[in-house]
Amino acid sequence: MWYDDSKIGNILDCINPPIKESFPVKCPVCGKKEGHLYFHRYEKNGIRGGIWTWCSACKCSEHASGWAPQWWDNLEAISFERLASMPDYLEENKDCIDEWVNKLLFLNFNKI
Amino acid sequence: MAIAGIRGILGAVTDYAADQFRNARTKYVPMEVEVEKVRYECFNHVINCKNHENDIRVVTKEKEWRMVGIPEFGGSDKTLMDYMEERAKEQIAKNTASQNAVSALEDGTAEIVTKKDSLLDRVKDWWNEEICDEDNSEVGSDALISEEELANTIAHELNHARDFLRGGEAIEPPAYDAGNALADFIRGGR
Repeated sequence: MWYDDSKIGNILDCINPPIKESFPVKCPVCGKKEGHLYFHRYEKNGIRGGIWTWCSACKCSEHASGWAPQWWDNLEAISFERLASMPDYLEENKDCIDEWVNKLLFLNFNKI
Repeated sequence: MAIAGIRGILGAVTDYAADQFRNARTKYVPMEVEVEKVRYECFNHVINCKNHENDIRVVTKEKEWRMVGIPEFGGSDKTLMDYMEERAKEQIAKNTASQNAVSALEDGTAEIVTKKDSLLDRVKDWWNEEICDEDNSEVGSDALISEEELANTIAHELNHARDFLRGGEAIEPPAYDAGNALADFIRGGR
């Protein structure tokens, strides 16, 4: 079961330059280093996409849809068909997601 | 039976062909085939010739029985008409999602809420549309930049909300389709 706390969205601050932390990041709700983030661009080269922020420790999560950042590339291992508002599927794949987000941040901001 | 539009028909044909190829297998049957046989004869052929210089290439065609592989398409019980019907149903479902979203806006069950100091405001430079959880849907100001964008956003969120109400997981693909369908409707595409 996931809980809603708008503070979990603060994880997004971690991808605004200057990048100071690598994923998993410190959860803005419970303080444990279990915070994750994932975007999924709906169509290749499209601007619309979904975003998920969640914490594996306190089970807070938030999902939104809107415009994906230009530097974002989808992780091939993540299937669009299995994405849902609640991040259960993403939680199962959190290790490779964190690695992917760190890689993209490094390639685009070169500061991790 | 529902009738698919032109895009539905093209999609159905593509699905059908893909299915036929995907399930294709090779069946081996005995068949009489014409086989080309080649032999070389000595130009100055004499009995006990040991040189065989200036060989002549002689090609003959003979018939013989062989096992020949024939591609057998199919394997699926679905006919092209089944695919057409599936596509048509899909299109109708999308149109229904669009109509539901429009109705919800008209009868007031859909509400646009903007909140300050939310996730949307913090990242508004590139992310400011909507947030969805089991209780709320927030719509950011960037979703209001055009009717098409707003339609897409609300239809997406309504799909999630309805799925939650049904006890579902609010998966992304149908919400994405619903958003696109209504945006397309607003654009005049359907």
